[in-house]
Amino acid sequence: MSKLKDVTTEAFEAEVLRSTIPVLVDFHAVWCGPCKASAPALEDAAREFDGEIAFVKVDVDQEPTLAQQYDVQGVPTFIIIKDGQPVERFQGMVSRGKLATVLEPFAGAGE
Amino acid sequence: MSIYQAFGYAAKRAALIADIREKGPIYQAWLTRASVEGDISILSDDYGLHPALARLLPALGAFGEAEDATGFYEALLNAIPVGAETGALARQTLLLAWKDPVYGRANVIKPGPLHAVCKGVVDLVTQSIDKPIDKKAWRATRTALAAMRNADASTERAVDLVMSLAWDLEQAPGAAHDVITAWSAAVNIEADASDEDCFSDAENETFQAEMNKINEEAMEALSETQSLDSIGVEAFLAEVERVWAADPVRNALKQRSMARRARSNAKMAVWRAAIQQQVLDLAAAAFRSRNASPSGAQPAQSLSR
Repeated sequence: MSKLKDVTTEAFEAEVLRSTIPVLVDFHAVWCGPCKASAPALEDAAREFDGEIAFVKVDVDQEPTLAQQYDVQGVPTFIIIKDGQPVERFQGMVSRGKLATVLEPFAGAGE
Repeated sequence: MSIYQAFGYAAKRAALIADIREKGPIYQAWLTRASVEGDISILSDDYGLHPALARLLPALGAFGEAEDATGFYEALLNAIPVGAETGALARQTLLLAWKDPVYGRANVIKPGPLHAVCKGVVDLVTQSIDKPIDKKAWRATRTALAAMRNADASTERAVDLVMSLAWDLEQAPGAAHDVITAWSAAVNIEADASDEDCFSDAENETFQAEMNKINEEAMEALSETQSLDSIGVEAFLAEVERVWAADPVRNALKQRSMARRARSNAKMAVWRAAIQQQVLDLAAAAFRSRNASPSGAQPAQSLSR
């Protein structure tokens, strides 16, 4: 079962902005090759950081308001949101190495 | 170490080799497409190859390049005995990305604290050939590496590669693919940078701008006679080619760029051939006793370092 939950505009505040742990938001599109190619790495990272960082997906075609609000110009765009605020963003296909590098500072103490 | 045992019986190995051969040059084939989208499970589920080794195949083959890798695949698959565990071979292959005397990333990261942390990751990968490694140990190496990542900007790519090494391949076999892809990208950048006809920054900027402009011009020209949705890739590329050729000044830049690409591709082919040979040597050494044994029995530690 996927660890990446689809989030709508309506649920964004509760699921992301009010989350007690940092959230990696994957702004993606169903037609986007690099988004599909990044999915297995995201699933692995979600499993590794389970309980420390939440992972959610936002389909930019289904949720254009969110995409606009976060100035998403291309997909995939990843934004880490902590305490309701975007604290890091990066674009393009991601590897497990890249994800680990970016996420470690936001995760717990290595547990 | 894993539940995967290669092939099951000899005819299945022959069937896989025939299937890969039938599907043609790897860059056009199912293996690359499937691996990019993450579903290459047939190689593990049906043919018993460790998922990490399965994910190495397209990357080691000729990822995105017009090199025919079927010879390599056949030699490698033939070197793997029926019933063999192949996770250790995958790990040994990944270690080449660090240890290879010519292309290994150990050459890129200077001795010092960062090198030591990277070496810690490499040691864990080495240990994982023989025994399972605790999740906390992998995590600790990643945490240490992340903390040092900004120590030297020139090593950022190498550190990302090592960070991809720091995953338990039983839990995240796709990390194997990440390592080889990162290695390939790094070697490619080095090949470009050492080219005899490097573009200056200004030339690079001009070329990128001209390329974007020409793509737009081609699209505009085609859209005059057909709808945007109906423009095919071939028609678009032909029109782009025509626009480049029509302007000798712009075309000169393009020809230089193509020549550079050809030289870089040739260097990549040399790298790939060297690594493929090392993987075949590793497989031959690892499985030698088993392939030589009439009973096919494999010594328990035959894949250990």
